[in-house]
Amino acid sequence: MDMALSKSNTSIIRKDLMIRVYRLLLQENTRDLDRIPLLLKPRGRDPWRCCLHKDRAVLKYKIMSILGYAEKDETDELTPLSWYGEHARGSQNFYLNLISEACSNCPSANYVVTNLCRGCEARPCQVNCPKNAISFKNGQAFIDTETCVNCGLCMRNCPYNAIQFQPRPCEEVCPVNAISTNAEGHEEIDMEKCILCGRCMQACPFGAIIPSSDVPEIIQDINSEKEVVAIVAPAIAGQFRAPLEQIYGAIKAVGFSNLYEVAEGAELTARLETDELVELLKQSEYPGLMSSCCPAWVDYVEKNQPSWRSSISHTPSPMVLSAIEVRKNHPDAKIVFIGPCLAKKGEARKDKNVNYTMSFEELGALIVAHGVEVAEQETFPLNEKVPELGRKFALSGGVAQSVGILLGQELEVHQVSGLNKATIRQLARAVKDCKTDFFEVMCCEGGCVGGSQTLTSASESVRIINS
Amino acid sequence: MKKHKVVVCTGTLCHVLGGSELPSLGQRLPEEWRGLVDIKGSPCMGYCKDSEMHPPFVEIDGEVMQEASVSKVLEYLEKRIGHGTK
Repeated sequence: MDMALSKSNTSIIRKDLMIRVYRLLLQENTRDLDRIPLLLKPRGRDPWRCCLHKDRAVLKYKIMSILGYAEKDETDELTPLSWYGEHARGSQNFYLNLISEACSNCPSANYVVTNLCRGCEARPCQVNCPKNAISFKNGQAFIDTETCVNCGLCMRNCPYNAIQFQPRPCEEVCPVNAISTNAEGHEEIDMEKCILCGRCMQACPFGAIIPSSDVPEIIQDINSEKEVVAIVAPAIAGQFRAPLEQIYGAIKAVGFSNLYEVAEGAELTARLETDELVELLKQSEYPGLMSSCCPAWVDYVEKNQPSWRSSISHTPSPMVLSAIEVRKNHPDAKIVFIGPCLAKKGEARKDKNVNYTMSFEELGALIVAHGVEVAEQETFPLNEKVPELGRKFALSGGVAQSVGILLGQELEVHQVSGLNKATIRQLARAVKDCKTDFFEVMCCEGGCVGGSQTLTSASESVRIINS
Repeated sequence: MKKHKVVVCTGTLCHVLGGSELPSLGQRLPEEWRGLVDIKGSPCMGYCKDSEMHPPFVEIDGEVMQEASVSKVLEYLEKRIGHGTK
């Protein structure tokens, strides 16, 4: 089981806050933004943290993020949420906000002896410890954290399960070791290392990590009747229990002037990657082509595996190619990419055609804030030619499958569905072996349907797509 | 014997706020309960309009369950079915 909490309150609290904020922004009632923390934590309610005031402060900073501001943007603590609401802006240059007010400063990862320890005669914890880190005090085992190397042998050998591993959940799930404690004792994300996979956000039990948002600006542009065009990732198919045409109808209903499927750009990506592969296959020795679709993966290679950089396909991602096409017909429009993950926010920022990004979570919250029922929407007619190949990109294996179909020959494919320390090791071996034609790497388990900001789990998504 | 009636809210708010797996409840139902439980989906039942109530919502035999989940509904049914047959 993944460390990310499979079902937890944090994502529900985040979406509930988004709905409340968007409702007020749609009514252009920024004044009541200040009321949200009080409404959710009224006097007399049991606090979740040390006291209600702390709970309210945490909510305030979460709402600030939803409004596009980071905790560090606060120069005056008295600045009310209504001010941030009135000064809507996009996510600027931060994508993930680790709110120090919300961070519980979890103790550093180590093994702890619990009260279940009975101080037995066998003492397997002590005799199996390779570092002599265990002594006995007051009839119970005691681990000297200075000598302990976190091997876990004591835990595995205790007959009473008295020794537990206490992780720091955010650091535990980060595949690139981008989170650590800073000099002030707070957790901090090093954005030079971060690949925006979103695992820390999913794993933090205190909901202290929250994404930035472009939605307030998008709402402002829609309210001022600018042309705002949505380009929607193929993974949308499993996000609502409704036919694709009806989901598109719901996206239109929240104010987008037009809508395009990124699956069309994905078809072009597949064709261009196939062309690249055809050229490579002519060479007697080649290292294999690495797919460029997943921005977290591309970022991982960029920041952590410089020797693999030359193997990454030069083909732009489906989002980039879709935006180029859409820009031709809508030169002055604001183009919004709607997708399943945070990494796309980073990629979109580097692209001149994509103005904003919106996650599926944000889209769901906006649809609810509008009072739109997806299942009751008019269908939005799609193109005559359905981009079947492009729609496959939502699931792991889809890119390789599309390239294989276009190439018309058997390919040696190395597929990664979920980038983590173990799959990275397997990748490194495959690169060394030089037997792979095509590497399809999806940072999230299951592919894009397993993205960090989806509305349904990857498995439920697949169930919906297949039904 | 009268069937237990389960109505799952399929409104968008319930879907977004934690209820996305509830409509698959029927597929998670143990084989031997299939004849004893009647599961239906319903458009928004309006419980979300009450700010004191917590989505997602499921009605079981006319009673509303808040913060419903597949496992909570199955547990509730197990108690009901257990009492009804034993």
